[in-house]
Amino acid sequence: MPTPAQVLSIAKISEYLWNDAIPKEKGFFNGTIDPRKAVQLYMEWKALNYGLDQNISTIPGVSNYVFALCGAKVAIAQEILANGSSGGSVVPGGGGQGVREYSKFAVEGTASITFSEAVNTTLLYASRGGLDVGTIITSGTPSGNQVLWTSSTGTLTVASTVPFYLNEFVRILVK
Amino acid sequence: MPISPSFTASQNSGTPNLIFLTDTSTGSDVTITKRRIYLLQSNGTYLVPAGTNTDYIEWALVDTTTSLNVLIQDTALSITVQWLTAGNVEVASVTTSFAFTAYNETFYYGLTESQVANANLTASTNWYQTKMILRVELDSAYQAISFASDIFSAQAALNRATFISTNQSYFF
Repeated sequence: MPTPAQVLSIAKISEYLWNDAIPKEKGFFNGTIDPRKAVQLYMEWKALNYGLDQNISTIPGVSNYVFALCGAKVAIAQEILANGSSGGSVVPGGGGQGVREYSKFAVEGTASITFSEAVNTTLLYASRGGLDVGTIITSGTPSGNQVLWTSSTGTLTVASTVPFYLNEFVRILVK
Repeated sequence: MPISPSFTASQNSGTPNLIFLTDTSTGSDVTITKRRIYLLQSNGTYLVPAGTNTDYIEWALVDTTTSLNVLIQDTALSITVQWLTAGNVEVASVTTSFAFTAYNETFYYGLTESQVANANLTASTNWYQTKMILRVELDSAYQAISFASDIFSAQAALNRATFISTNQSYFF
């Protein structure tokens, strides 16, 4: 569970993601999302922000509530929070590729898996066996639920203490 | 080094009646022997603690922080701090505007706490509509202060917010 300070950032990101999604839903799916969602998130993260500033004792409950309100945007908001701290640049005329997803089944007992299609990319997200991994590091040796991303070879390395099990499903998002 | 005067103001949710001022000045001036605070309200009068007969409040130089028990509701203030000689000649002065919102922000936070306990409350149009208005009034007060030091507009917004919180039984 993210800390209340992290939830505050996730809620702010989710707010604009929902705000963007609502008009699309209206156009294509006859408005299946609660149209108040973005406004509601703004109103509640403001309360969370005040509670954090004032160190109010009921913050955990309010934080969980705001986190739950983020709903289906939580995963992508967390990715943006972790990796999207600086604005992107616009390439006139297009070019390049956006976020891409790759998945593979790992070999039992190994601690690394290579995605040749993802060479020279930035790893945004990874999961193994359907569970999010921990911190993504780009140098050093991973420990616990950390993973090491070696961009030059497209290799994801997990801690040697938790090698892959038989046909473990590994999913990554890169850009 | 000559004095470079500055101060900050804060408020806590548990004691919204209190304003805390902290002197953050750097440098010094040996001629300074006293310090005064003026709390100018949007109606043009000065706010002072009960029992004070002057427009200003004395702030002893030995105290870096002082607390002022002056608020009974959310209030926008233009606060001036003066550093004076023994002969009351002004050596330095700083004026900054603030919106003190702990009464209504704490009430607003309480509404969210109520939703945590009973999520169905959000199904009420009145609940959300009024809470949204309260949010807009508080944000308006902040914007009036941060963009224009406009304590009149800020106080008008805070008064509308206070109307909601003091008549909460009609709105929530």
